[in-house]
Amino acid sequence: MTFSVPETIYKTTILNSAFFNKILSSLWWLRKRPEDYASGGGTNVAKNTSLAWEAYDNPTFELALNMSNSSRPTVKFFANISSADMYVAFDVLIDGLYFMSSNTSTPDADGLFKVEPISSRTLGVYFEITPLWLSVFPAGVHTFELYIKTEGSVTFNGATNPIVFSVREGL
Amino acid sequence: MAGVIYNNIPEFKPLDIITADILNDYFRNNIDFLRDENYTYIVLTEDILATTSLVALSESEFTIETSGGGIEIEVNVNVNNSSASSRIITFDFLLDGTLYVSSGTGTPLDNGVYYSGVLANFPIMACFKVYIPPLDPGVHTLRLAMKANAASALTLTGSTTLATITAREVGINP
Repeated sequence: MTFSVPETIYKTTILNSAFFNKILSSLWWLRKRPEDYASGGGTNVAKNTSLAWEAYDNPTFELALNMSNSSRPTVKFFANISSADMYVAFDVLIDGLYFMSSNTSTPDADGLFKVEPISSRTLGVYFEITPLWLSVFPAGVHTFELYIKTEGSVTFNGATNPIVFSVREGL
Repeated sequence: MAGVIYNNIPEFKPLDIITADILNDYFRNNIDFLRDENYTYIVLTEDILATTSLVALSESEFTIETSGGGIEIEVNVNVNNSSASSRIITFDFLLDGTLYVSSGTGTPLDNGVYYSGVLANFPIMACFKVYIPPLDPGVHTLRLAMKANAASALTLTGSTTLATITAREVGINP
């Protein structure tokens, strides 16, 4: 089912089943927007990208969302990480092209977010963003990949905490 | 961006005449509103240094038109500490020219709506949501306010990381 704004009604409009089906379809969409997610857990994942942007690949956080309407998606990421004073930056690649932070194929220096867990301590990371500053994406299948850049060895603590990357059809 | 206004639905009674205007207002416009949820936002693309005074950042000013509901404000920013000493960052909002905090009193608490330590030479991500109870319908102006406990070290790094402030109307009651 898809979302569509009902057409304008005029005094001479004859209300038929198509009108009400469109309303019911839109209400269904509002209740249950299409979404996709990937969850990494069970083991710790050590990453060291040596200051280069790389796809998070254990497991592969590449999502495919079949958007029923043109819209901007909402992306969420949740993890618990630790490092010895090494920073990690996050960004998202959409359709192999757009980094959310810059709307170009080249990420900004530190992507969407940049954090640095101190030695022997863990740090919770959570973000939820809807890239309202980007153009609306057309209906159809779109891919989303989580990209990271680390200063040195950073551990994603999947053994003790969930790691979740999700995307949902949005505005 | 801001969409159409949500129309509070009356209780229809037997023999009420359902006009084209009613169908347009309560079906077409309300469904349109629910999809877009009346979002509005601003992106900060510059680095902004925090000072020891609570300053409402003119770069962050934007407006949202509401129809009687509250406002959910979502902040996604990064703050970097270039000092060898740990620092504290505080955020608040300027709502229609008045400093506001989550207490809803309109008077800022000592530590505003969001308060975090920032370790020496470390960056943090400040991602938080604040709910403002229902306001009078109309256009409301918002600014992000920021304060550090010491000068010349804490910077909102809009030039290299994401810095967005998003607002949407919520909690509209009949």
